[in-house]
Amino acid sequence: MRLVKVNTILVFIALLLMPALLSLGINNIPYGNQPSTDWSVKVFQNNIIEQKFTAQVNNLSAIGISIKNPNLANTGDIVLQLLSSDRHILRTSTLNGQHIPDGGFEQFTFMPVSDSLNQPYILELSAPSSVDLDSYEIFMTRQQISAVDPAMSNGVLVPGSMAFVQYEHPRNKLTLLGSIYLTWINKLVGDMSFLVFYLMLVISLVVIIAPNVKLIGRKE
Amino acid sequence: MKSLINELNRLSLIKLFALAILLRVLLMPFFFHPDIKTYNFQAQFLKNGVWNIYSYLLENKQSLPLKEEFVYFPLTYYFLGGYQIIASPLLGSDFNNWLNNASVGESQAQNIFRYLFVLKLPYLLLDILIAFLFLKLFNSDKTKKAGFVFWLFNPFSLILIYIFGNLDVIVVMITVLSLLLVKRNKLVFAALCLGLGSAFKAYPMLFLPFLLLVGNSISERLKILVAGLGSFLVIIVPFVIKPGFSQAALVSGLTTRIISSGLSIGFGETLIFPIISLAALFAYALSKGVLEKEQLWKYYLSVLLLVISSIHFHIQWLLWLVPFVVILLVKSQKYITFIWLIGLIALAIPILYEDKFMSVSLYSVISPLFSLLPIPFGAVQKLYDPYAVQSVLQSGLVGMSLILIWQILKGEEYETG
Repeated sequence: MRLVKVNTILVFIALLLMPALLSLGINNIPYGNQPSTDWSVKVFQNNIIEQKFTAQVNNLSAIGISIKNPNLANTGDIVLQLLSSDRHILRTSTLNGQHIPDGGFEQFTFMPVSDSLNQPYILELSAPSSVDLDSYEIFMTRQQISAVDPAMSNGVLVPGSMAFVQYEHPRNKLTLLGSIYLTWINKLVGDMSFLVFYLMLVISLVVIIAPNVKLIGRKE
Repeated sequence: MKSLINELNRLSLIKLFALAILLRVLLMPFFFHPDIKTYNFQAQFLKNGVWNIYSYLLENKQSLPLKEEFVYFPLTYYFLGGYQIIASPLLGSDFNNWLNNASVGESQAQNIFRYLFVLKLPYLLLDILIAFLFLKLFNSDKTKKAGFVFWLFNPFSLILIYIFGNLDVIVVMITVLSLLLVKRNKLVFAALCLGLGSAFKAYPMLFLPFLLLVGNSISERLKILVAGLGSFLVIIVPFVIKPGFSQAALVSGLTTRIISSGLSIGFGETLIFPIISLAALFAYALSKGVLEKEQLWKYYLSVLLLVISSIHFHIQWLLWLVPFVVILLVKSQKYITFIWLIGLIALAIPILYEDKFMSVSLYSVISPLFSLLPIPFGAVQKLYDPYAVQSVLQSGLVGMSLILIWQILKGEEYETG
């Protein structure tokens, strides 16, 4: 009976406890989806990309970007700086090419910027140790994104903006956990006929099992 | 064992059975692995009258939202496609939109829980059928019940079938049925089952040489060969001669991995580990003359341990082992700790692959935020080379598998069942 007990406990852990435990590890929540990745711009030495935008989240804590690094050829650093509108450096985040697969969507994480919502910022991407031949390429979009200006490459305006995603650091893990379970329940309720059938099935099975619940916990 | 049986006598099988179903029903809608969507996307074309999925996918690759080839053998396509036709009223009208949507938000469809539940429903039926086959496979009441409970309440089949949405349960059921037919001296039908099973996924064909050795005479062995290999060939030959099949199903998965693990000896030659070990096992079986039908499962288990431990395997393949491990545990529970250890190592290896759907993203239907979490590969990478860790685990798996095979083949007296 130990096996029955272990399995029953494992299922409940997998279903109810694991989502709660996993949610503790969520430090950055994306704002929307990544725009389409239509073309790319090289980043190397002094070839810097600059992107003005207005933050759509509070506690801005990361920027996600797709980066080309064919055959993991570039093993140097790529540096993202977050600047205020008057060009003060607020945050710096560095990734190394050894961990950037070609076309990989990478997160530049930094200490959350409090009260960032609706504030104007500038992103600067540079790769000081790269040369033209092994340059990183940043995916850009032609989509019109609200609160995002056209990007500049080496000081020249380019047609479109970086295909980037803003991330927010959750203020409260408990609220985050609540929102995860709420999303789960809402999705279940959204398919009411399935939910009714599913609950009836689960309840029927519980009713059949109920008188033996104590036996399952008994020692051999 | 005695306490287990006593306890079982107190609990009715119906209640255990209901609990087993409940645990499965609880898992079915809430875990998503993209394979279930990919092969159901491909299987949807049966209802449009596509009989050769391999050629169809090759010809229409450019226009299809998912570009993957159909890597399974033909009966898998007909089984899944046929089930989709039957289940379409349950799946609803938006199901096809979901199947044909290749966007990253695929796990966020409004009716995703319904889709996953309905698509896993045949697996539940086959899983339960296997439990009932175990009731027939053993002789005494206590071994029957032990087999039933070990199958229904082992965490490995629960994880592999309902969390990873593993269609291999179809073939697993067929291999257990084949073993039951062997027990009943219906060797030709058992071989036929292996042939049919191989027309879903190739691995039961590895059992056929050992089933041949159960035959008492040349003519009986010939019948077994014709039934097993013949049924398999009759199903796949019409596909082999047309484009698409060879590239998709024959040159993928087990069929090539089994010859890819080896040591070069120069001049383009390689010593292939799985082949060496399978040849050695077959030679050992051959040296016994006629194999006892009661011992056949030991060879099946050994075949799978040798192959899976020595190649880069998919987590789904571990399900192939489970029925034979259940038989081992019913016969002798002294291996239970050993089996747990092997099972946990075997699960840990693919969980360490650089694939979000081996871990955190399995929860993505509950919330897409779980896909943002770092995966075990990345976590290990911060401390050490994850490939080195995988290699250590895989090597450990080989060593432990060899000892287990030696233990089960060395002719110990087990409890008879």
